Amino acid sequence: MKALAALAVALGLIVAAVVVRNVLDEDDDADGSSAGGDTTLVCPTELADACAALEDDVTVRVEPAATTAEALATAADAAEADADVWLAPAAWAELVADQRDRAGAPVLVGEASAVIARSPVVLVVWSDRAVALESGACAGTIGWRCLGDAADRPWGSVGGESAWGPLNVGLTDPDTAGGLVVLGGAASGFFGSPEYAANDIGGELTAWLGAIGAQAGTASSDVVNEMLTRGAGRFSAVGALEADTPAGIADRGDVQVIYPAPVATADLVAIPIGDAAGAAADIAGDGDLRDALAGAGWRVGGEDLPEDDGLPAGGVLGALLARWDEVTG
Amino acid sequence: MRPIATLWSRWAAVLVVGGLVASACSGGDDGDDRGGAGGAAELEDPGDCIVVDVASSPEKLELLGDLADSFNESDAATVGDECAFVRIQNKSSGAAEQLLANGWDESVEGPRPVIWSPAASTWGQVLNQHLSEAGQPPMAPADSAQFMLTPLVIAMPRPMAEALGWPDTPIGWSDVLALARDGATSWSSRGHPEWGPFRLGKTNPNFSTSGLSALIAQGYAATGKTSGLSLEDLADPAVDAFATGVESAVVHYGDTTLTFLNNWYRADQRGNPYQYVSAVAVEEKSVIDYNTGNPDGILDQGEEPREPRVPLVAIYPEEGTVYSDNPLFVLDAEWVDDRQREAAGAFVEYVQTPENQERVLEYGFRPGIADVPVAAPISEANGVNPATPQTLLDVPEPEVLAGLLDDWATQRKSARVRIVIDVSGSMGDQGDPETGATKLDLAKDAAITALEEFKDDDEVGLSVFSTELGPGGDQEMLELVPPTRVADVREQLANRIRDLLPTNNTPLYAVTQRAYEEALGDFDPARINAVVLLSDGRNQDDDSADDRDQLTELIDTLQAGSEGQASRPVRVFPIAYGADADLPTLRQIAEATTAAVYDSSDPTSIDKVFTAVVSNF
Repeated sequence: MKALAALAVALGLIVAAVVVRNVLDEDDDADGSSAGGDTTLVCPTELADACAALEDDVTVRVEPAATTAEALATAADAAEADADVWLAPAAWAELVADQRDRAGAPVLVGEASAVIARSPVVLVVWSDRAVALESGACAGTIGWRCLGDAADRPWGSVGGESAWGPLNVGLTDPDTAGGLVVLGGAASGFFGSPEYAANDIGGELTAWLGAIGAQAGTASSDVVNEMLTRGAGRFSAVGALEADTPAGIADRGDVQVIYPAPVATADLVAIPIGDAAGAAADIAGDGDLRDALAGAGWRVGGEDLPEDDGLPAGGVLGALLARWDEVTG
Repeated sequence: MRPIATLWSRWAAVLVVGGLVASACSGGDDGDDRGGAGGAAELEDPGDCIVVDVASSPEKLELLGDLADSFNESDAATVGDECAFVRIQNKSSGAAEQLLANGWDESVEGPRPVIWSPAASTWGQVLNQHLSEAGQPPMAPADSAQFMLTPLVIAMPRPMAEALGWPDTPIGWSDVLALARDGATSWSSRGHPEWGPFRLGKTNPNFSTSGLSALIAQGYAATGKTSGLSLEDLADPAVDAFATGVESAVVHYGDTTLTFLNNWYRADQRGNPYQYVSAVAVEEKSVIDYNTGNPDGILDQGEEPREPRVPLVAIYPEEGTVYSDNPLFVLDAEWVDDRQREAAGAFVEYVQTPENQERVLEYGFRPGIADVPVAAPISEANGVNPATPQTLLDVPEPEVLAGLLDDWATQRKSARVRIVIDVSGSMGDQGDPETGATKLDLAKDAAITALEEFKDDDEVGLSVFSTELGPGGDQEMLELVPPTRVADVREQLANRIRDLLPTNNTPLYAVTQRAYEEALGDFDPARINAVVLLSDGRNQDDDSADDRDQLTELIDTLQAGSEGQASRPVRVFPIAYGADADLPTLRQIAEATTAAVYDSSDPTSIDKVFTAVVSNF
């Protein structure tokens, strides 16, 4: 009888343990994060699939890059930030560091890891529109400056057919991880170099941004897909990261992928928050992450790209982002 | 947040009515959001899996259902160590929007959705605006996956398009206007007198997404803009004149493009697709369906698609057009938990895989992802051009949309309509067991309500039919109010309808013929000329021996008047009312006049059906 009672108690304890464990598991999942370890990695929305490769080792939280940047810019300390490592293009880390510095806040974002993977900014242009631009508004090589000058004008006035309607340009949303880099690259294209300062962001650039951003209010977060599925009537050209373009796009005859000068790149790094440099280094070196990024179209070895990311300093990007928001509403 | 005019809400509300009506009518899904509100249909048992309920607009129900089935059996249907189970239910876009905005009663409507897929993402904006007005947070994410696409086009028989210079010459709404303004000489001045005058088919924008898209496109065409259409633009007399001119060519409106496509196809099979309509504003997918011999996009049991004799071509208006994008909204709703959200995400990802996106092509839609290029059946062989549209239009701000609809109410073509109501004895039978109302009670209420849907300039008359009517008891049809400008007789009409009483038999054939001939007698080419015929029974007069001959003569008369170069089209829109109505015969009558029959076999649906019928005017 005693043996049976003991067995019942033991079974009860096992069941209770399982129940408690399940409850704990559910609690872990309740905030949308995956539970993989003590380190919390914040991952930009568009890299969620790649970050999933780390879920066995770290807890992954997925959110838009701008959300993370805002939280990190205002957090009192690492505990309030509630994260250890942020995976993002280096430009975002510079932006946050500059904002904290100007606000007189203590340093929170540490030195970023070595570059994990890179992706250059590209222009995707419908082939017939590209031909028209080359012989019309761009008078040769297509670049940011001539594209922006022609944007939001009737095609008939910039070298194309009037039946094409207006020259609509789409840009990846600057609030996304890659979008800030695209915007920085576009402005570098406007100035002809990344060597510009916040006080260069004047009326001429504002008008130019207004034209190139005329469709920002109605564009989706994936402008490349929007362009390729809805056709030239939606966008004549879009600016995005190379990694945002579908595999095989170079083989399509109907669009051209152009790498506008000066080349700008999204250099993906692991950014330590507080004193998590070790965790950031571990993540940066993770082979599964690199494989996943390579599979998603990132250049893990940074092949054939200039050494520098071709972007201005973080403070300048912050000023540029503010002007963009002002212009596009 | 931009304020959205109350009128915008009204539009949504009216669209809901349209959705509800469709469930009561014989017309199904026309590819632009028809097919009904749906209800608490039988749903599969998900077992212990995480359930993802999907509310889908009707045009993609079959496809999404298939994809849900294959998803549920696949490895993709897992969240952690749990299985996910997707269930699809039919909800027209407007109906679902209203339910989400105002409260979704699961006991009536079925489970609340985790994913909502209306016909166009504009519906998400409408929902969020309604919620905002009610002080609630948005439910439809601003950025969602698009399932599949189809643009609005102007469909024309190929020879007619060629007569306008297609495919080399761009054609647009301005050309439609020019044809409309040329009136009787529109085709003869273009070398084809045998085609008669130019006639346009457009659905009612208060009911149909295609109709609304066409209205937007017309508005932009009148201004030369592709974005930023404003209320100031709409106030421009030239814009008003443009719209009025286009509307003047309309044959009738209606709640679904299927009416046009089915009638067109029947006319084609009889050898003359040119004189019913010259052009209809439809979604590109409908052109493909038509040209593959399946004009309503639904193959009934045993039905074999037969290609039309004269194919249609899709004209992408040179001034620009708009897409229906079929978004997949994973709702930010309090009833959606994180596990469901994750499972929903897995399903969205699943339907967007290239192999599944290939399937949307089978249904005539364009894929929603760039990895799957536009391919057959979206090809020139089917009358459409995958390289177009060249110009897309921005959806106007809500207050401008409301302004377009308000203006349309006066710009649309006026109508002369005879309402002919069956007052036979059977109309005194019970129509609603819950209230005890008779069929005639319900019909009277519905007819009185529908009077409000006519514009002031429409002319509406009222007649009743039975046997032994009139002072001498020798009449089969009594005209109670002759067709008169409705603004002057609305109250009189309502009073006469209120006074109706059930009596005697149903001389359906004789009365239909007489009502038709009277309408033909005072035919007004500047108006939509029509008879609305409500009947609850089979032909029943004093002599059953001649019924067959009577019907043959009637159909011959109706057909003869509706066809041919000099036709004076009087459309007869029958309402088959109650379970004993002679729907097959009423359908014959409708088809003979290239109109549509409406099925109100459930008498309690008559108010919605009446509204749908009046949407034709």
